[in-house]
Amino acid sequence: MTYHPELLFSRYERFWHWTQALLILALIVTGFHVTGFVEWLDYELAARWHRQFALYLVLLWTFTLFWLLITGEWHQYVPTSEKMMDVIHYYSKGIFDPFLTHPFKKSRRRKHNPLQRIAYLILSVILSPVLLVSGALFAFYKNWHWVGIPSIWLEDVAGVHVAVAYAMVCFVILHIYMVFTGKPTTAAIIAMITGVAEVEDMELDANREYQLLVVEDDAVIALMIQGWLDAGEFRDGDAILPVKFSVTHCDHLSSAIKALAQNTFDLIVLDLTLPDCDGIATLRHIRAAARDVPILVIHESMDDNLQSRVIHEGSQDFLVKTHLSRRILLRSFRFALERHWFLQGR
Amino acid sequence: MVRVMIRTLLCCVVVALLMVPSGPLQANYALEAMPQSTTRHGKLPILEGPFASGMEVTRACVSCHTEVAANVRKSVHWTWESTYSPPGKVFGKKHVINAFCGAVTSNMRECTSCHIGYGWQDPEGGANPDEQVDCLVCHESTGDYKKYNFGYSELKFRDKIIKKPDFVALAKGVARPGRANCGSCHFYGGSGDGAKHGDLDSSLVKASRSLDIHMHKDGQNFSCVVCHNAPGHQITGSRYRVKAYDALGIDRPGHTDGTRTSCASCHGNAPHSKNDKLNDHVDRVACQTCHVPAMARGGVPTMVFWDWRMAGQKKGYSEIAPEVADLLKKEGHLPEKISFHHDRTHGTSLWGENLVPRYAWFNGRVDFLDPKQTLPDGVPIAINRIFGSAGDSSARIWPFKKMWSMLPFDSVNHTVVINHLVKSGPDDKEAFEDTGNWSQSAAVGMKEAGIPFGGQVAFRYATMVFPLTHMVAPKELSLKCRECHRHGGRLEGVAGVYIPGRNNHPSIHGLGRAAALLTLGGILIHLTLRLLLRRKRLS
Repeated sequence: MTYHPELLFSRYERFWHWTQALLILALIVTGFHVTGFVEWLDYELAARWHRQFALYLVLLWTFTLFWLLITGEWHQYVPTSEKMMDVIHYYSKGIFDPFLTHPFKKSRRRKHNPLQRIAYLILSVILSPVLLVSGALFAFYKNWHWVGIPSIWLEDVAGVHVAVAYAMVCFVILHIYMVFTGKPTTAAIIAMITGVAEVEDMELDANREYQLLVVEDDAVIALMIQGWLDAGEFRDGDAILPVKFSVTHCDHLSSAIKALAQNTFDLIVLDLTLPDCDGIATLRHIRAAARDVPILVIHESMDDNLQSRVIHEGSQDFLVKTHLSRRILLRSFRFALERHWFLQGR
Repeated sequence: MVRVMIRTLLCCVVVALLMVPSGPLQANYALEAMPQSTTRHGKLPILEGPFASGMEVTRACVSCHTEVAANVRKSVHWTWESTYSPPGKVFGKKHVINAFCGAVTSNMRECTSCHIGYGWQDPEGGANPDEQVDCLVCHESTGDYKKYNFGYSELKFRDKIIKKPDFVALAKGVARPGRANCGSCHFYGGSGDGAKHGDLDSSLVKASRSLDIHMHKDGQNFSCVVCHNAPGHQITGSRYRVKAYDALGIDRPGHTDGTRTSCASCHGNAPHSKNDKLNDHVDRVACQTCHVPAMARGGVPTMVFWDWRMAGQKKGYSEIAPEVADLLKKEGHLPEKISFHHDRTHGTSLWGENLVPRYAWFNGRVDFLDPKQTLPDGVPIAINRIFGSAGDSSARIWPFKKMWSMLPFDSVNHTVVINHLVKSGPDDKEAFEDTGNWSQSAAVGMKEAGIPFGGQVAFRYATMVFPLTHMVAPKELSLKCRECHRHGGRLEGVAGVYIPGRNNHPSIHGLGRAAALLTLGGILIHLTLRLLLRRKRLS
């Protein structure tokens, strides 16, 4: 397996992470002063700093929330079950074997393994908001009568804040430990300082069956594609497309759109001339129905203008039916998948 | 265009310069150099005397101040009777008992040396009661005035005058009451200097800045009556009528109650101009709690325990009995810092300085024990009781001096004992100060108080509390936050209020720390396993 350095964490993410880390540590220390468990600092000072740091954290979170929404990076925190069991298995067993590597391959597009996603989601959707709201209630308890909160709740609000703060303490402890479980030990912390991590070179996953949608009213062409895919390796051993495909065939635009709504596909082969639609409009309809799926257009025409137009509108390639060969088609499939992968990662 | 801009700029600079304040307002008009009174009493022919007695001085006073005696005779200082009490009860010095000498009843000869009249035997019964008002005790400024038996300013024995002050000098020197005037009684209550209150003693006469920021002799140099203003000679701020929280705020003539006996009367109810967090405390904590940081801060100790069991005995404590030491510790006083005093008449008393007060909710209501009341067994006698709780919007957390004593007790009828402590005259042979005989003197005292006496005197613990409000420290000596916001801080026992830093939510903290430790423990196990298995696998 080969690796290459890749910028995983942007400058803002690193600023966010480290500022947040400092503020949370400072809040933990001053918080223990406010609860009376530590007396290194003057109480008034500790209490004032606690409020001050909390305010900075709220500002940071507000800006970061905005940043996450604008950049679409909130996607990084959507929980997924993909590889979840592998990761759990790794942490409970595989981690003890120095020769085993982490089953999750991080990339710019997916920085967090499924466990991290869940942990960070709980942190940002449950722990932080509860801390924030209970802390803000506590700080402004003099104004509770404005919204009709009985002041007798003060003790309970403080209790919630303290309880969740301990959860945060546990998170911080665990988080710091996890940072140093990487290989090499300091990889994760260096990545969070420089932003650059050694990322495994990606290959198409040969173990997976790829879903291909062929939208073609000419049954012969559809059969031909199916046949080429089933034909096994090339004579010369050049495995240009080392993956298996499962083919779904549609002969109308309407049925294709229905199929796209029902299933996920990895690749679409699209004939622009269909019984219910013709020309560049066909591509537009399919693109609208499957925004993230690479499309290959096949067509009789050799019109240069149309070819450019089709690529301009988002197709990965334009294959002329009369020039079609197995090698050209599979090469185009492979490149489309690789290019798609690359573009998605950026 | 440029010219217009330059002109505008110049105008702005000029206006800005004009707006810069030119230092503090110089409007003192050299107040100190000018007599504040429109009358210099030393120039009045009527005060040339001669005066045979204090009453003759008073006659001269009321010849000009025509209404004053009538006013004084309505005041608590004269009647020793408080009508501010809860309905159905009358308090005041004449009626209540205390945890010091007991009661004024049957001890009038000596107790009335602090009455602002001459001749307590019949204060309202003389030919002209107005002349029995003692103007001098409050208004003389020479410091050479003293009052004796039954409030007379002449020391007499069998109606023969032994000592008499220079009434003319006293009369010519009258002025607004100074701290020493009020202090001549209020600093010495409860048997001696500083004994009773914990925040009133002779150190206030020449107060240092650290002792009292208002009375500080080189500072504002306030006399008592600056705050305890006295419309119609009715002194405001009675201990029988405490306002635990002054919602009226800064005193404005015509809008408020006309008294300045609350901090808020001058400072308002958001007094910390640079610290809102401190102002957040005002709805829960009395100013005094932080600004009167300790009792007896002026170098004069205050009494914390009075053991009447030792009265009549030649020798007092050689050391503090363990039981009493425990009591002191429970009050937060270190027994080794407590000093003793013993005399045969009064028994042994314990005194301390710079003592930490007790804190409690207080809404201003203080009830006093009715001496006739039958007392339950097994609990200390509460001479007075304060009221207030967290749910009471007029209550604040206040500092208190809590006095303990071992008082004589009627073990047959289960009442307090009113003791005939001092002789009513030279022929009185039954007073305790002469006989040291409890049952004899108690019988006399109880008879005079009209309480049935069972004939046997035992002793019982008693408590009395005094809200602390004087000896206001400068801000740098006021309590720091940590004094209360900590485990085992000053407000540890005060219920019904959430105080951050007290030992709150012990179970959450326990669970939280357990969770953090479990996380750490889990990590350690995981780490150990990783290192061990790694070595094994690599070898």
